[in-house]
Amino acid sequence: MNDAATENDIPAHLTASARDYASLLKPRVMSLSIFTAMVGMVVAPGPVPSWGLAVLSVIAIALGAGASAALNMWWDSDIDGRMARTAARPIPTGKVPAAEAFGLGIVLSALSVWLLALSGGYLAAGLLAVTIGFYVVVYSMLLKRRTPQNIVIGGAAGALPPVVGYAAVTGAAPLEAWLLFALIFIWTPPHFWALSLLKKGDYEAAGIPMLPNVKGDAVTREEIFRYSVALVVLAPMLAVAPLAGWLYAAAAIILGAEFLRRAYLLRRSPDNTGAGGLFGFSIFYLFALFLVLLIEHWAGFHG
Amino acid sequence: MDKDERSLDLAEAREGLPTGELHQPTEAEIKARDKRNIAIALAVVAFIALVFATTMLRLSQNLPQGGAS
Repeated sequence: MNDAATENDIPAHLTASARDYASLLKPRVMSLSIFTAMVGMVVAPGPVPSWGLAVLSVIAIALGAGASAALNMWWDSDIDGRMARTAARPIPTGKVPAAEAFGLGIVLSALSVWLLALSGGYLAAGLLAVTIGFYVVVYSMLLKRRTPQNIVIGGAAGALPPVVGYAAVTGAAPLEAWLLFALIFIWTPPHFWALSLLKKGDYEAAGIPMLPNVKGDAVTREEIFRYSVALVVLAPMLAVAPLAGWLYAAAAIILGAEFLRRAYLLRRSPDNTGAGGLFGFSIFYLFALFLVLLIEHWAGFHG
Repeated sequence: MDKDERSLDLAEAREGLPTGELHQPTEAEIKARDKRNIAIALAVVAFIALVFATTMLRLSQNLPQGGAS
């Protein structure tokens, strides 16, 4: 390039902004991890020992979530460009070189785990490291392009933040913390499969073996319904543990009934009508259940 | 290459002479790079503040045990 170069000749990465790098961290997914980790902290028994350290732990968990997102975008940059949903991400558009996304992901992973070790202890830091490793290596590298069960097993990474939060304030991860894990883990398949029914063409173009592409829509709708039944049975059972009360149980039953109704209608719909509605409702469902848990604890239902 | 020439080369190397790249950054590139540099600086300062805050909070947690004796 010489002095006569015009704006159009400039490679995109030379004019990249900090915002382009920040978008590698998938801020919206990050916010969900922050929220569920925070709920894990609040529902842990006893008062939070230090709110200052709890806030720092949440920041560390958020950085860890961002790090795994950046590493995921680095690994998937070849297929992201082939899907309409992800084509505008910074690596496919040339705004950020893939190697820089890798570097950012690795550095942020190390710093987030280290910061959490300082603020929340070694167990929480270890669980965060497992979360990042599971999402990047097990889900992105090993499962995503190989099996339609990718999001079922990979869902474990998205389900771990509340356990990390719980461990950060108590230094332990007992069975009741894993009930929160189970709730998100069972919620993940119907949530993602509803989306994959809508984005089947995208996944086809990228060669990702999502369930509708491999087994067809009817099998996917049936599987969504089965997981929805498991979810609405599991969700109210959290009230048996000390972390949830009657208000949560009532919310889980009412919202669960609506979840099941939507999953049932989708199951009977040959043209996937209602898949978008179920996808949207599934987000509201999980958010509402966790919000009710927060309200119960802040209102002092659990002493 | 005699001794004088070698020392001249070393002196020139310290001046950061061109490495063979012919790219002249445009105004837009320089502006974008400056903004990225500021963002990196702010991120580093923020991280230092986080580690400092964590250290202070951890130390203050341990004060009661230390002061009890």
